[in-house]
Amino acid sequence: MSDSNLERRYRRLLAWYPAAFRRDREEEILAVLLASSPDGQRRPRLAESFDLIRSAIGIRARRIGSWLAGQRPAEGLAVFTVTAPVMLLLATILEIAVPYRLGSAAAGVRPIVARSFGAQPEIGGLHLLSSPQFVIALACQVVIAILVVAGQRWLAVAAITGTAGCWIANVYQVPDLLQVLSASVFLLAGAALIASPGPRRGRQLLTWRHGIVLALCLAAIAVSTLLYDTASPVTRFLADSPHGSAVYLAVSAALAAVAVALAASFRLNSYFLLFLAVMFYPYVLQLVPRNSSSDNLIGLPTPQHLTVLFLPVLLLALAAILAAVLPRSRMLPSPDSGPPPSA
Amino acid sequence: MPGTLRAGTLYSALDRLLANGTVAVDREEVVDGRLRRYYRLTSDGSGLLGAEAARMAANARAAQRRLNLAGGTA
Repeated sequence: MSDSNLERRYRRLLAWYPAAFRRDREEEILAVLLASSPDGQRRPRLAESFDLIRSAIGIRARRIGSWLAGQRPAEGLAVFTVTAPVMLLLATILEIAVPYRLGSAAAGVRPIVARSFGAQPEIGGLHLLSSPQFVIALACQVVIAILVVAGQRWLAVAAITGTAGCWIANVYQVPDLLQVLSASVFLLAGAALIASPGPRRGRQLLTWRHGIVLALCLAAIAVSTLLYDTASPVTRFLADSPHGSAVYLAVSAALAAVAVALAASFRLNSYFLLFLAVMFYPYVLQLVPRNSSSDNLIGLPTPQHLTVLFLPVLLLALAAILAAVLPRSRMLPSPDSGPPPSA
Repeated sequence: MPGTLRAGTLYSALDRLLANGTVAVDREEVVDGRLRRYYRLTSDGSGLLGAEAARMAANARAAQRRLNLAGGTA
């Protein structure tokens, strides 16, 4: 009998639906499809197949839409305001705690490092504290982190503005990978501070799940900075080529992948994750040319390079501020934003 | 076939109606080894359907009046 063939083919089409929907309705829809198929039909009709696929895609899109609508942008941003500056400070502290050294050959191909910190063989570690520019940068990070943890929204915005001033006046310097991260953290944290209920609310919403994801991100940052460490046993073990640093890159990418997987399984606020992802975008991009013979992007601060690095960050920061300034009903939907203002 | 409601379209609509609470599962039974599920309108659904029917009836009455005024056939 051809019924079982037809059933198998219908089931294959029903596989387009989300798993949860299928668990609940597959048998029921199948019964309808089989009951309405004329005797002798061996395969689903084309129009019928198209209708099922279109319906499955529509239901999937609706599920994603309702999941996003259930997310609260303001809350995601509030958590970001607390976590991003604290994470940056911890990354900088790790940079001091875990020193790394340039091999003599590597010193020549890292002009930006040499320009920032002289010809010192050690880049990370306590040596950093001997640079007044670094101490100023660290002090700025400490002040901002303390202010966000204390829930001081507007003072934190002021401190970020002051830090940007120090940077522009060129009295602010951290190793270039962290420099790129600092720029995106401060841009996005500043925007999130303006656009969200602020760090006090963020502190209430913070859970151990955020802690685990952020700790993994931090570990990925710490490992990736060791790409500098051309004098490490790992790099030497992998022969005297700069490709040895690919090991650090791979470990760092693996840690980041675990962080992403956990963030998805913990169902963290998607707007928080969006900010986190865009915050890391310039940092990750910076890692790519690190393994090539060319200089890194921030070593070539042309408008084109800076656009590639920071345009997405800048656009997201502007979007967040616009969402806060414009009537909520016209921007990011927020269930807690209350009724739209009447005309 | 024109006018045939296909299963995909039907279950898309049912999914939406179930999500907004206008219909609910009434009962299930197994016929010839196949699951059959019956749905019913909820009180919210009845209210909405009643309001929609009243709106359409009012529109139809307005159209009828205009046709009569214009001297068209009713």
